[in-house]
Amino acid sequence: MIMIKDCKFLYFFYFFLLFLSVFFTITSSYLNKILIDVLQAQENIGGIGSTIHDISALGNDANILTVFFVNIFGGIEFLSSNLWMFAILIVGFALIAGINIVIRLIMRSYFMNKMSKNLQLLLFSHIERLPYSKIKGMKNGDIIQTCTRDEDILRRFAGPDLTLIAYTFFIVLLSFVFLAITNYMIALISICILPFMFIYSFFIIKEVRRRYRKTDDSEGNMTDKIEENLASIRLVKAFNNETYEINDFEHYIEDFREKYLHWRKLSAFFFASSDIFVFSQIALTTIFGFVLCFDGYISVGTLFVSFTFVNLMVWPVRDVATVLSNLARAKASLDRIYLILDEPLEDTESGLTPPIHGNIKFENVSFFFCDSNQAAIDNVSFEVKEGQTVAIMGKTGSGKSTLAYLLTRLYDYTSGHIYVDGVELKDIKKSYLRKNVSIVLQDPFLFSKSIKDNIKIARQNADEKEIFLATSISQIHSNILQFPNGYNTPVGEKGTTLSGGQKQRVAIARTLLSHAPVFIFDDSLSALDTETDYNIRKALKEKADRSTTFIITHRIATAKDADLILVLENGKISEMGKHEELIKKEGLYKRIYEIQTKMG
Amino acid sequence: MATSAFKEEEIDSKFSMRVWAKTFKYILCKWPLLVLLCIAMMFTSFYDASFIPSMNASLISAFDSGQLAGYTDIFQVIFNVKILGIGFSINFLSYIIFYIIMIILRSISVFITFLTMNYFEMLIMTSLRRDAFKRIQELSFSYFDRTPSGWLIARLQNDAANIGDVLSNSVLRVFWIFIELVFTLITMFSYSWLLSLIILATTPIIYIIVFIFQRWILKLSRIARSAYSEFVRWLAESINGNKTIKSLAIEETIYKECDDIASDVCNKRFKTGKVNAFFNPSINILSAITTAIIIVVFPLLDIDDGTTSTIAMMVLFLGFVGSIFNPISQFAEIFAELISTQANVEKLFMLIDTKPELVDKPEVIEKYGDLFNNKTANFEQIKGKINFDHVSFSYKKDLEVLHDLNLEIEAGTSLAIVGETGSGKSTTVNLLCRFYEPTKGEIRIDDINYKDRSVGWLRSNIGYVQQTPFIFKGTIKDNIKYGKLNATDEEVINAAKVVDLHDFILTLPNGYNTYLKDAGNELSQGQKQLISFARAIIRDPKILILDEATSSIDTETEHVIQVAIAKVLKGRTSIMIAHRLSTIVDCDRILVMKDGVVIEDGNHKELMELKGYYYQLYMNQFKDLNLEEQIKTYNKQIKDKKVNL
Repeated sequence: MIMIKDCKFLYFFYFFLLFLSVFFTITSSYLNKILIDVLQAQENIGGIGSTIHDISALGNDANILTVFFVNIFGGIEFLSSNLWMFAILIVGFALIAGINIVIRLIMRSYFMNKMSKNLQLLLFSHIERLPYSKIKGMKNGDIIQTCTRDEDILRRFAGPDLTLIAYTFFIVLLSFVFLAITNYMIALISICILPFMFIYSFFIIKEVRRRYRKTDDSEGNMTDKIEENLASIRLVKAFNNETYEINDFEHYIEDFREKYLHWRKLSAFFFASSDIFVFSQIALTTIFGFVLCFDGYISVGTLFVSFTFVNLMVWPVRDVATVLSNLARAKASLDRIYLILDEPLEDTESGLTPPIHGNIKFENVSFFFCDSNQAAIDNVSFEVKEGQTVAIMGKTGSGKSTLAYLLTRLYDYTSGHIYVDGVELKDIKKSYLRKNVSIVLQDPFLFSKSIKDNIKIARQNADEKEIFLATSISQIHSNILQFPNGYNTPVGEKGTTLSGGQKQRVAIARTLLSHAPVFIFDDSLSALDTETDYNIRKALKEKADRSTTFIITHRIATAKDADLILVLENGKISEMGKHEELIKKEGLYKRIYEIQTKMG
Repeated sequence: MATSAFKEEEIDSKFSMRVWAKTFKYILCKWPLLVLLCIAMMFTSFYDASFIPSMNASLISAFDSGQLAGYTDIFQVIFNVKILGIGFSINFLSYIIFYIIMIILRSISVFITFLTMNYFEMLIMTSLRRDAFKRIQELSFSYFDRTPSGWLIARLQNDAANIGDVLSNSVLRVFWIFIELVFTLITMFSYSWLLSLIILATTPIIYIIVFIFQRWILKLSRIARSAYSEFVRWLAESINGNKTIKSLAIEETIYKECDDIASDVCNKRFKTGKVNAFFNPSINILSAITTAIIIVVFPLLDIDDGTTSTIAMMVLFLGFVGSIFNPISQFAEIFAELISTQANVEKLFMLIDTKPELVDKPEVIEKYGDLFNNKTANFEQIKGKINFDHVSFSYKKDLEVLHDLNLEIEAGTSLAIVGETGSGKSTTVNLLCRFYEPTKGEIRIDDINYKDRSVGWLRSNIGYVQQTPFIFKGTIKDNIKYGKLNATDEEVINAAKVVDLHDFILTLPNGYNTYLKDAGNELSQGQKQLISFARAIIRDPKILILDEATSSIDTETEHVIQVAIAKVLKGRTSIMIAHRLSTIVDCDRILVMKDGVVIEDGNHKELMELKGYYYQLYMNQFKDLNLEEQIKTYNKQIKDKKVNL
């Protein structure tokens, strides 16, 4: 239902048209029957072209439908002497059916694409607003799969698949009704094998699909293998392991081959065996129709029309079994979509918007990841004044980044208090907070846009002067000017590849442009060489409106000028103070300091 | 997603037999299967196009020609069947039995047809992949510099699958449709050539309609498809950048982008859908018109072939309209598919037909074997002396990156190369590993030009550690053994011990059999690098190359690696590239490179005393210390290394 919310009426009207279309198909086939009966009657009377006066000449089964149609189109005398009427009727029906199909297909295309767009937007806006901790727990690949493959499966289900189901239902129903009105025996014979075929197909297709999935997995493994090989091609060559790689790849090929043939054997068997049902149904109708005709129960025209109807019915019934056995897949896709949509959104829009200057106070702050009972941040307390610089050091995994994420509320602290200018952090509106506490991430992300657009993505109305100022502080201005298109050089997947250090500096400029009172550099200076690192810090200090700055770093040189240095070990502050104090104490800071200055 | 970075190539609308011929060789080598397939297809076509219409016609004729009049028992009725112009008579029971046998035979044919077609699909797919993969292993580095791996993966996986699919489901199917068409035509003409000609007269019109529509739809759907792949690319990017989006609080802006792109996809798809909607109905109307023409002309013609009644004839020809129309529209569809896949075939064969630029001379291959087949028995023992003799190199024409390098490295000594990015230090190592060959001059190992020995010989004596450690999917043991595939468990353990990794591995629940996936993300960067050291050591190479092997490691881990390196270097010729000078101060010899030439050469002490570029680099490291510290550290250096200033 989420799929059709904007086009419910269209959707049902579409199925109504489908019904009409089937109705026309059936009717025009029925006209052929009348034509044949007329011809037959004429032959019996005195050759083609002779006029028939009585409708009962059309055979024993000249029923209400025949009478109805014959009368509509001018009566039996008129029709039999004007065979061209049939030609006009057939073309007329085809025209109406054609127009119907055109309208129907356009409608289908419209609502399918509309649905698809709505679902894509719905999913994306939801994903975008999930709490960070939630997204981190999901695999990016899975999310993308849901937005593309699952969405596609649902779209196809709502479009072609449901159409086929409805079409089959209508055609079986109408064919049966028309035949039953003509002669109930031929009607029953025409559909007697269909249920068996349906059940047979339904189950065998399930197995076919299971084997297909295994083949697909095997192909996925093969892709992984190729990716690995390409990523390690230097090693492969340096170690002269080419033969080993080729032999190893052969295992994947062999596995794929085996699974593929296993799958295809059954699918070929399915087509062959269900063809037996299909043709048995056709043959049965032909032969029994003949017997009925021989005994005078039905006319030749009826024999013909039943034959046509059987051909109309058998193929879709087989296909519908295929679609229905696929229902579980559509269901699974829907479940995966709801798995995302049912996640509660992050509330970024409610809360206080107090003025923020940059006085920050941590008071016994602890944080636990939801799946862990060990504190990632353990009872941390410290205080920073407006405009000061704090350096955070510690080993990988000691909680440095987590501490930074707490400040921007990518994570929410479990206990204790953080005060920003005296206001409890949790009470502040998230979107407001993030505009004011600006973080440069360790692995900054640039969008596939021009450098300029990347820098001003958070402040679209920034002018050139401001941009240049930000890039000058982050020491990237002159580099950008060296690119062929300067600030308009596209970056990211589709453009120039920037080095890690260049990316960092663009990201720093992007953050600086926000003029936030609090900056956090999450290890973002370490990809830069010492000189650039130094220059950036110097420029930051000289900036007119000094912001409170947090710098997470490995480098003593970067940390040593800070007003406050925090050393984290397992989420706890193990040392805290200024450089001069810390190098006098035995501890991690002193050890790192010694290693870094000893130089061998 | 990597492929989406490439603009989708324009369609080459001309069908080229030459391109496809290359793929046919994979099929032709299995000709007995092809013959079987052909027979199966012929039988199926015969059943559909000749048998069924003829049987039905004879049934209907039985009523008309008054044959039934004399019979009271249906089983005595004789049917005059005419198949492909051959007439015979059978009774009702034989008629039924004949029918049943044919149904079973047809099913068997269908089974054979589908299975062999799929077999061919698989054969083409796997053969193409195998050939392409093998070629990738042979190609030289210069190829990988030019070619992104996403492009290669797309060739091996998407293109190969696509081609297999098109060949079996399009080319073979065209063949099938063709056979069916032939049977239909023969059957048609055997009944009435006049009516047949009337039907055939309309086919050019269908052909034109189909052709126009197919081209149009193909063009539009390509546009729609590339819009969609742009959406997927954008989506992947935005999901990867989620953290950034949140921390910049730009959700609104990004959502607007999503709306734009999704609407673009929607509109382009709808446009394709609209054109598509007119395609089938126009064919249907045309076939209805043809049917109408037959109905109108029918009474005017005198059609009698002796066995088939007028009505049977009528029914037959109404059916033939469909049997002629369907194949033609299928032809057009398949043809459109063929043309759109042609580019894939070309690209894939471009890969398969690439000649490796770096190959051994025939006489070298004769003696030492090729890459895939080393004749290790003929391999000479290596000592490890290396000479660069007037070596120059350029990756691109007219852009020399290494100028006239002369260098002699004694066996068993260690050499470090320092310099900025672009100074030529990596090139020197790449040349030594023979990833590339010098454009001028020669490199000698143990005083013999390395081109006179095989690539396999050289590499079997080289241990190589690259900047970012690579972890293969597999156990720790597999990863270490990658350096020496036939290594025993003991050798693996020894290698791990040398780099001080053994104790750590034993703390893991499964020890050496711990399975590493996700590129070894279970391990720290340092541990991963130690594994790659162990991998290089297990080969017991005479020449060891560390290509910036310590760059991506933090200070504390570096210390551990430092210790490992010291152990590992013993008794080997080693070349080390580093930009952290702390790693190299103990090397026997340090080369400072700048802009492709060696500017300083000597050990740490000498270079410091020289007070040149190296001295500056070295001093730069202390730049941020305050003066007092600088002097202290510096003096300590001087004391430790006995540098005399």
